Amino acid sequence: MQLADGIGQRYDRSMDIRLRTISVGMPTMIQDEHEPAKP
Amino acid sequence: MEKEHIVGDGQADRTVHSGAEKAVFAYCGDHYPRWQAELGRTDLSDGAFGKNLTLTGIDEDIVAIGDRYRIGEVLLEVSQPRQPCWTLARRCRLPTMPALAIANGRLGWYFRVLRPGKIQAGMAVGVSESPYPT
Repeated sequence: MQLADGIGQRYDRSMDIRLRTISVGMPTMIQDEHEPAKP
Repeated sequence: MEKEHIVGDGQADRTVHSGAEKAVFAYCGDHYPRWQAELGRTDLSDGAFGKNLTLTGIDEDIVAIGDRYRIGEVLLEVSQPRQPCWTLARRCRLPTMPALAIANGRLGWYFRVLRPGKIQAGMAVGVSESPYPT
């Protein structure tokens, strides 16, 4: 792993951190579900 | 990736799920096999806990607010942990899911985008700063 100098403790160079997937899109929820029910 | 979102992404409720401090949501992909085994749910896979980035090799035990990561030309900084709400329950079709995620700490976290740019799946993630070492 690329690790800047001076960074340790929680990280070490043996760690292999990867971006596995990227997901995007508009959720199916609609905003008015946060609102109280209308009469 | 832009300053406040990933191109093509959207938020249904922008009052609580958007902005520079919640520009990008990240989740540890190594958690999904655990969820699948515990809940018997093979549908819980990348993106199930919320879009955008699924990372491997890192989780909430390691990540801290202020840590900075490089992915290609993009620079991200951890801004806050995810606070699970009803949307997670609905997405997973399990009312107890927010409580389960809080109990085991598999919450995910948000990034602010310090330097926008292009990323693609499979890229290595480097650590550029970690201001709180312990």
